[in-house]
Amino acid sequence: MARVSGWFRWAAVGCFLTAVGLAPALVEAAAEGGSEEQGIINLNITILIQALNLIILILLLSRFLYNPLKQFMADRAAGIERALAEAKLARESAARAQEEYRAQIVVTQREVGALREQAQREVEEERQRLLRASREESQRLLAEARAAIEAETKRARASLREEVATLILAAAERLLGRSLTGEDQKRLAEQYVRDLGGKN
Amino acid sequence: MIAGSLAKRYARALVEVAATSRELDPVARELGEFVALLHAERQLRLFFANPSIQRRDKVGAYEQIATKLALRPLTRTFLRVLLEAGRLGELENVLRAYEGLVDERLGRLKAVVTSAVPLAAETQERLRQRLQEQLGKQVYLEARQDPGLLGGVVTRIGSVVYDGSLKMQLLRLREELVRG
Repeated sequence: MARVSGWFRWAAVGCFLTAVGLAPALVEAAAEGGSEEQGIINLNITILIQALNLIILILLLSRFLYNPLKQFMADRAAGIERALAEAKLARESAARAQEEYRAQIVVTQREVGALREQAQREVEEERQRLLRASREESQRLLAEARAAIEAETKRARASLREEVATLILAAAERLLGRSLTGEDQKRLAEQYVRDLGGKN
Repeated sequence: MIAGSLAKRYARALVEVAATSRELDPVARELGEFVALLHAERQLRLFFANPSIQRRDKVGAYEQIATKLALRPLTRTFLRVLLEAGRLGELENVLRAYEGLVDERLGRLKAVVTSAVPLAAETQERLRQRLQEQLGKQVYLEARQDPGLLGGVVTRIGSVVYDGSLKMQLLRLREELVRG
């Protein structure tokens, strides 16, 4: 606004000096022309009046146009500066909010990361627990199966031995029943009596 | 237990009377013969056990049997007493108790000797002597046969058993085979 008012002032001063500088020439030209013939420009009082009018016009313009314009420009500049200040404040506020958001995002991201890590840890612990439980269960089942197999094997062996022993006993009884003679019976009885005496 | 106690009371009374008349062994033998007769004759056993038959009829029948068996008066009277008291069914228990009391009174032991085939007399005598040497008491044998023993001898004195039968040896062998 200051720059605009300075320019306008220098323009008015320039017009005045031009009018003053040109006045002698215009007077001389008017004198020459008046002596001989009418020229394009005749230096007379009219020129002076016109120059005065110009000055008055400039002064009037300066008084009624320049000052309101200057005021308008100053108000506009103030408005712009205020708007700029507000914009700056808004920008700063937005920047602060953005920083806050960013910080909050960082905090949230950290929390999310911590939660994710905790969740992963818990999942891993649960997985390990389930794995251990599964391993223990499988080992228990395996041990039970082995014990059952062993017991069944023992039972089968015992049963087989018993069956074989029964068969052997039956065969031996049949064989003895057929083959034992009276002499054998007598010898067995005598042996029994001798063994009985030896049991003292 | 009550029956055993009752049989012992009868046996003790009989022992006292038989000892007085020195008939301990003959009475035992005759009682044994009567028990054997009851074992052999099922109809006779059922007759004496039948509660619907009058007791005097039972006594009449018994008297005929006693006469045929030529039982001595003590045995005859004792059996009649048992019959009239309705205790003839306890006769076997009475006999066992009587034998035990007689053996105790005479300081001797009864050895029940079981074998697959009858033992020779000299073998029985040697066995009896062996047992007497071992036990320090007079021993008499009661010989029995059981072909299931296959061979050898089993002697039972009271609750003690000397088992030398082939059957027992085979059973031991079977146990060893089973144990592996």
